Amino acid sequence: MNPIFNAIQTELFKLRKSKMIRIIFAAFSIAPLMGGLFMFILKNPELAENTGLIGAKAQIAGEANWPSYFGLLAQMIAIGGILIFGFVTSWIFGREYTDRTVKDLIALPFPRGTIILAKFITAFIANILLSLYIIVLGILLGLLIVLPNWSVSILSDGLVTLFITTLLTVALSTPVALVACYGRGYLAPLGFVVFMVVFSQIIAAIGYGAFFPWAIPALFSGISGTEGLIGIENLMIVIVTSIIGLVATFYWWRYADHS
Amino acid sequence: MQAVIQTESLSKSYKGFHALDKVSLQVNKGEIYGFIGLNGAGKTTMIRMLLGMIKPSEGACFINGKRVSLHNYSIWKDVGYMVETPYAYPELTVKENLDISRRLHSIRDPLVVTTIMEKLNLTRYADKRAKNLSLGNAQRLGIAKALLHNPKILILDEPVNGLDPAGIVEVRELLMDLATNHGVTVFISSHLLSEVAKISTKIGIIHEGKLQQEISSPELNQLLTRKLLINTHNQPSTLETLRQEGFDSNLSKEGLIELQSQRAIDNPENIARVLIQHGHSLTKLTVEEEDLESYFLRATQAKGGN
Repeated sequence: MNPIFNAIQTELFKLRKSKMIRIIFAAFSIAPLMGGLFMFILKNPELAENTGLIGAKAQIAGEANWPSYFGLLAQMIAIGGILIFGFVTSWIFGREYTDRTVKDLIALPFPRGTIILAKFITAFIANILLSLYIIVLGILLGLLIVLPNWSVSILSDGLVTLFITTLLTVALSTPVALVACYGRGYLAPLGFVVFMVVFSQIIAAIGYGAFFPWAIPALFSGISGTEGLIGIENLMIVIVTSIIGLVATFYWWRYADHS
Repeated sequence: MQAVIQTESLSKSYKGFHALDKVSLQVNKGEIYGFIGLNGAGKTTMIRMLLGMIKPSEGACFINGKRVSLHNYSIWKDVGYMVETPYAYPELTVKENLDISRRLHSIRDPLVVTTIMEKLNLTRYADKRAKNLSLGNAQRLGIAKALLHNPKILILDEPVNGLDPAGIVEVRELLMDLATNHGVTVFISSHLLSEVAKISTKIGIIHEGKLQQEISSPELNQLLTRKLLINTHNQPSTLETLRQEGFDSNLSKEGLIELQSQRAIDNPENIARVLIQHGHSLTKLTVEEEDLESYFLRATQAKGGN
C-alpha cells in the first residue's frame, strides 16, 4: 500500500465525513442560483421592473445570453472561490490543530511531507469538484431558463474562462494552508481569506488589481469589463504566489516544532 | 545489550527557559521505563523529542540505534505512541478513527481494527462518534491507536489518565503482558507515581527538566524508608519504656510512636514482647513503608516533602 495513496484516501474520507463540506456545497450553490435568477429577470424585463432592487442589480450582468452568463459565473467563482476554496483549505489544514490530532500525523513511517502533499491534493480535488458543481449547476439553470446565443464555440470559450478562473483561484489556496499551519488552527486562515477578498476589492478599485494576486482571477474573469487587462505576467504573479505558499507550507511542516 | 530507546544529553530551551536539561537515559528491550515528574517537569517535552515532534536544542535521541531525525522515518514503523490527552477526529466513529490509523500504517487487513477494539473493550462503542466518548473511552481509543500496528516500542504519555480503576488494571496488565511476553519496550510517563511503580522495571525521576534519579524496581524498595508504628493506651509511658530499652523513638503528628531503627523494624515481635512485659496494652503495631509519592517528594525536595 502506497503511503501517499493511503494518506489521500484518509484525507478524502475525513473531508467527506465532515459537515463543513456539505455546508460549503450548499452555500456555494447560491452562486449559480443567483446568476440564473439575474439572467431570468433580464430575459423578462417586465418582471425586472416589478422586482425593484433585484431588477436594478441584475442590469450589471448585461444581456441575458450565454456569453454574459458564463462571464457572471466566472466572476462568482473568482470572488466566491477565494472565500470558499479558502474555507475548504483552512479546514483541511487547520482542523488537525483545532482538533489536536496533528500529533498523530507526525511520527509515521513515511516522509513527513507526505501528509502535506496528501492534504494539498485533497484540497485541490475538493475545490475543483466544487467548481465543477457550480459550472454544471449553472449550465443546467441556463438551459432551464432557455438563454439565447447557445453554440459550441460559446460553450467552449465559456468553459475555458471558467476553467482558468477556477485554477487561478484554487492556486491561491496554498498561502491559506501556510497560515493554517502557522496559526495552528482554522481561524487565522479564515481571517486571512476574508482580508484578501477585502484587500483585492480595494486594490482593484485604486487600479493596481492586476498586480495583487487575489484580485487577478476576478480581473481575468472579466469583471467590470476588464477583459484584456490581464497578461501572462499577471498570471505569473498568481503562480509564483501559489508556489511560495506551497513550498513554505512544506518547509514549515517539515522543520517547525510540533508542540 | 543495545538500547532500544536512548537519549544523549538531551536538552530543550525556550527563550532561556530549560524545559529539559542534559537528560541521558537508556531503555533496553522488554523494559518498562517509568518516567515520573511533577506537572511541567519536562515529561511531555521529552516524549515529543523522542518522537521527533520537536527538535532538541542539544543532544540526540536514538530509537533502535538510529538517530531520531526527519530522514530516519522508517523507525516509526516499530513505534506506537500517545502524547498527552488523546484526541481523535470528533465526527468520526471509534472504528473510523482506528481505520484511519490502520491506513496510515499501511496495514491491509481491516480485521486489525476489530481485534484492537476487542482487546481494549471498545467493540460496543465501535459506531459511537469520538466526540461522544467518555474520557476513559477516549483514552482507550488513544491506546488502541498506539497499539494497532503491533509496535515493538511503546511511548505513552499519561496512559491511564481518566481511566476508572478497572480500566487502570486492564491497561497495567496489557502493558505488562506486552513487555514480559512479547518483548515490547515501553516508555511511560506519568504523575501517578504508585501506578508507574507497579509496572516499571526502571524509574526515572525528572524534576525541573533534569533527570534527578534513575532507580531499578528492586532498588526502589530499598530506598523507600520504613518505620514501626505503635499505639498503646499510654503513649508517654510507652515512649519512656522504649527509651529505657535503648530504642530511639518519637511521637508522630498523628499521635503514634515511630521507631526508625532497623533493629526495631526487622523484629517488631521483640518490641511487642518488651512492651507487654512492662504492662503496656498494645492497640497497634505495624511496619509502614513510605509510599512512592512521599519518596518522590523527598527526592525532588519539593514543597510538601519530608
